Amino acid sequence: MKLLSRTEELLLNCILRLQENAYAFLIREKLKEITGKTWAFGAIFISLDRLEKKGYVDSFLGSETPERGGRRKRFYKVTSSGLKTLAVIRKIDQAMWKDLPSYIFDKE
Amino acid sequence: MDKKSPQPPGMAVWLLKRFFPDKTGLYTQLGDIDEAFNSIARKKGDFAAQAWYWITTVRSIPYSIMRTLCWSSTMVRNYLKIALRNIRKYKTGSFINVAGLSLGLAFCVLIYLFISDELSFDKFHEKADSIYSIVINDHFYEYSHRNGPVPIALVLKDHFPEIESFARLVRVINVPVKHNDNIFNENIYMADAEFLEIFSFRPKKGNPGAALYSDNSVVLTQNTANKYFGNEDPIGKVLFFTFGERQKPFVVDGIMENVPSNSSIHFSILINIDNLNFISSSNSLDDWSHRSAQSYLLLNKQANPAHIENRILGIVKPYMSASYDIRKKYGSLVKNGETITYSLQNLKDIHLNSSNIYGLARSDIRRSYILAGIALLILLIAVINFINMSIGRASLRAREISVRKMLGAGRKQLIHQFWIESVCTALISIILGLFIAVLMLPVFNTLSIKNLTVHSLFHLNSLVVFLLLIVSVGILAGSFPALVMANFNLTEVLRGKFKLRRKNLFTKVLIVLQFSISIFLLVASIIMSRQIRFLKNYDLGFDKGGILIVDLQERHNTRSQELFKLFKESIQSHTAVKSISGCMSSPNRTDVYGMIDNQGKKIYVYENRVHYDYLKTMKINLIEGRDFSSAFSSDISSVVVNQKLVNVLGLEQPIGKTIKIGQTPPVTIIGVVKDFHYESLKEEVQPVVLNMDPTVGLFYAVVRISAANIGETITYLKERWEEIQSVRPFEYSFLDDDIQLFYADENRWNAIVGYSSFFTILIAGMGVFGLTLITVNNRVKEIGIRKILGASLSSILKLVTSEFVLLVLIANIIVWPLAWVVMNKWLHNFACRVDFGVWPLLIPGIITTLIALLTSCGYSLKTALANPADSLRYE
Repeated sequence: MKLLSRTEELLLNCILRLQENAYAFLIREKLKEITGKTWAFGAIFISLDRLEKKGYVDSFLGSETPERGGRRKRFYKVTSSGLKTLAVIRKIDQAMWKDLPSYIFDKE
Repeated sequence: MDKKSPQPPGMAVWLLKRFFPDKTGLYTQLGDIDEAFNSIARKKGDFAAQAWYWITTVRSIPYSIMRTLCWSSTMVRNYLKIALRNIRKYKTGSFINVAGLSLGLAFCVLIYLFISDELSFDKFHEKADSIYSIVINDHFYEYSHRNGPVPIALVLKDHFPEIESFARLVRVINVPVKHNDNIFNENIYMADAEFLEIFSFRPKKGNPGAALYSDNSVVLTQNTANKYFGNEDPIGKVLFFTFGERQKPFVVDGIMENVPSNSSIHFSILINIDNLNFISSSNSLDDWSHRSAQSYLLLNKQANPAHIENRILGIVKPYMSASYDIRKKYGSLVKNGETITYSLQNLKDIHLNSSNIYGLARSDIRRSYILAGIALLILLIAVINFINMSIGRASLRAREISVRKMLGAGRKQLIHQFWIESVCTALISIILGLFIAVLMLPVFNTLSIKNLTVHSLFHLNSLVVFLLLIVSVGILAGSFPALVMANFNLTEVLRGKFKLRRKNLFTKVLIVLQFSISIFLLVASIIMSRQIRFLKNYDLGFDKGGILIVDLQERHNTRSQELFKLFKESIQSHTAVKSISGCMSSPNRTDVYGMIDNQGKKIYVYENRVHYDYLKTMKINLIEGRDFSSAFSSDISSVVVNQKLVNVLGLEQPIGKTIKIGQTPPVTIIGVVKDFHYESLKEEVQPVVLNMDPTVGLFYAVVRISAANIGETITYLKERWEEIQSVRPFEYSFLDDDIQLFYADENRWNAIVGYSSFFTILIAGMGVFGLTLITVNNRVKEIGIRKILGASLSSILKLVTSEFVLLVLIANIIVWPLAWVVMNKWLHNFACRVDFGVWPLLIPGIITTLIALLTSCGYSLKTALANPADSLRYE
C-alpha cells in the first residue's frame, strides 16, 4: 500500500471531521481552520479527484442551492480502504513523534 | 434578497470550465467556488468578490496544468519507448530515413545560415533605422548609384534640422601605402569624423573616433594593422601614402575591429575627408562636378525621409547648374525635364534591395530563394522516403496498431504516436545533420562567397528554427502514415486479410516526384556545365592565352603614359616578351562607354584607349584599313572600329569616314576589325572604338609572353617593374583568368546544382533500396513458391525491379519537357548559347534508371538466389 501525500492525509482528515457535510467549500474552510492557510480551490479539486480515483473516497451529488449559482454539491465520504490507509498513517505519525522530546523545538 | 445576487466574472468562469472539465456538465466544483464567492460578496462587497474570484481562478489553474502534464508525460514516455524500439527494430529502414533526413536537414541548416546572414546585413548598427544613404538616380543612363557630389550632404544638413549628422565616404583606389619594406596597394576611404559615431563599427585600440578628426592620423582595421606591423603595437607608427606624385605620412592613432562580413560598407583604412584637398589640386570639398562621395544621413526620430527626399532636387539643382546645362544642351533631360533625381534608402535595405543601385556590394534576394528552394526539395525527397517506408511497413505494423486500437487507443493517440516516432527520427537526423553541415561548411562558404562560422549555429534564433524544423518535418512525415494506419479496419487486420490498396498509387506518385526532382537537378547541372565549357572554349575574336595584364596603378593621364613607356622600354628586349601594348580598359577591368548620336538614336560604344601594337598583341583580326602606326602623326585623332559599329551606323565605305563620339571632336576611321568579345558572353558584341587619344591615360600594360618558363618571365617583369619605380607593387593577372571571372557566378551555381543533384539522387536511390527491402520481405514466400514452380532468376528480379524502373522512366518523361523549357530560359541569359542537344536529357535518364535498377536488384538478388526451402520454412 502506498503512503498518502500530506495533502491527501489532510483532506481525508477533514472529510472525516465534516461527516455528512463534506463538500469542497466546507472542506476548504476546515483546511483553513486546521492549517491556518488559504487553499486554492484547484489544489483541493485535483486532490479530491485523485483520492477518488485511488478509491479512498466516494462521492455523491447533493441538492442545489441558489448560493452555488444553481449548481449541486458533491459530497465526499471516506471509504473503508481510505479509513484503513488513514489508520496506517496515524500509526506512523504516532510512532514518528513518540520518543522525540518537545523541548528541542523550544530552542528555536 | 433585496439586491440582485452578484455574478462571477464570465471570463474566469469560462477559464475554470476549460481547466476543470466535468463530463456530467454539472460543474459541482464551480458551485463550491460560487459559494465562497457569494459569502465574500456579502461580507466585503461585489468588487472584492470579483477580485477574489479572479485570484482563485489564477491560483487554481496551475494545479490543473500540472495534472495534465503529469498524465501526458506518462503517455509521451510510452510513445517514446515504442518509437525508439521501432527505430531500433527496423535498422536498415531507420538508417535510410536518418541518412536522408540528415542530409536534407544539413542543407537546410546551411541555407538557414546563409539566409540569416543575408538578412542580418547592416543590422548591427545601433542607429541603422535612422541612417539613410543618398541615392543618385540617373534617368539618362538608366541606373542609380551612391556616388554623389561631395558637398551635397553638407548643404542638405543646412536645410533640414531633421538631419542630426552626416558622414561622407570617398573611396580612393590603388593607393600605394608603405611601411619600411611593406608596400601594398590599398583602397582607402576618406571619411567624415562623424562616420565612426553614426555607424557602430567597433573600436579596438587607441582612439579611432578622435583620430578621424585629425588630418594626419589614420585608422586601420585589425587585419590591415597586422599586415603592416605584424605583432608590433601599431599605435603611433607611421604609414606613407602615395597620392599621384605626392607622398604624405599618416600616424596610426586608432585600430578598429575587422569590419563584420555582414556589413555593406567595407573599409580597411580610414583617413579624414579633408585630405581630399591634398590629393587633388582643386578644392575638391566644394566641387559639385565630380561625383565621388557616398553620403549617409543620420535622421532624428521625428524625421520623415520621404519629405526630405522630395526636396533634395530643388535644393541641389542650383549648385549643379553647370552639369545640368551640359546635359540640357545635349538633349538628355528625361524624367519630367530632369536627368538626375535623388532618393534616400535606409541602410538596412541596401544589401538586398539595390538591384539597380551601384556603389556598394549587394546581393540578390533571388539567390536566397533559389537556395532555400533547393534545400527544401532535398528535404522533401528525404521526407518522401520516410513516408513511403512508413506506409510500406504498415502491413508489418498493422497488427500492433490493431491491438492498440482494441485496447482503446483513439485515432488521436495513434496519430500522436506516429508523430512522436517521426519527430524522434527528425531529432536524431538533425543532430547528424548539424555535424554534416559543419563538415560541409568550408565547401559551402566557397560556393556562397560567405564567411559563415559554426558558432552562429549556437544562437537562440537558430535553436528555435531547428526546433521548428524538427517538429514540422516530423509532423509532415508522420501525418500521412498515421492517417493511413489510424484508418485500418480492425477486424480485417486481425483476421489477417489486411491489404493496402490505395497506398500503392500514392507511393508511386511520391517516387515519381522524388526522381523528377533529382533528374531535373541533374539535367540542369549537366546543361550548366556544358554551357560553361562552351563559354570557356568560345572563340572570342582574340587570343586570350598567354597574355599578361599588368596594372600600372597610375590613373593620371600623362604620368600613366610615361610609366607605360618606361615599362615597355625596360622589358621589350626580353625574348620571352613577344609583344607589348597598353590600354585603358581590359576585360573585367575598367570600362568606358561613349555615345554616338546617330540621327537622334543613341548608340552606346565601348571606347578603349590603346597603344601601338594592341591588335597585334591581342591577335585581333583586321578586316579593312590599317592598325595604328607611329608613321602617321594624325593617328591620335584616328580610330579603329569593329564590324558591329560599321553595321550599326550603316557605313558602306567605313575607311576615311569620320564619326563623332559624345562631345569630343570628330575622329576618322582608319581600320575595321572583326568583332571580338571584350565583355562577358552574356552580352552581345557592342560597337567598339579603339583610339589613341593622348588625353586619356594608359592604365594597363598588355604583354604577350611565350608559353615557356612563364614563372621566370614574370619574375623578370617584376624585377624590371621595381627598377623603374619604387612606390607600387607589381600587380598582374592573366587575361584568361580575368575572363573566367565573368563566369564565376555561373561556376558557383553549377557546383551548387551539381552537389544537390548528387545528394537528391543518393537519397532517392536509398529510398528505392529501402522500399525494395520491404517489398521483398513481404513477398519472400511468394518468391519461394515461384522458384519452386520453376520461375527463372530474371523473371523474379523483373517482378521487383520493373515497377521501380517504370516509375523512374515516367519521372524522366515528365521532367524532360520541363527541364528543356527551364534550361532554355536560363540559357537566354547568354548571348552565346550552347546547343545542348538530347544528351543532357538522356544521360540523367540512363543514370537514374540504372540506379533504380541496381538498388532494387541488389537485395532482390539475394532473395532470388536463396534456397526456396529456407524462405518457405521461415515461420
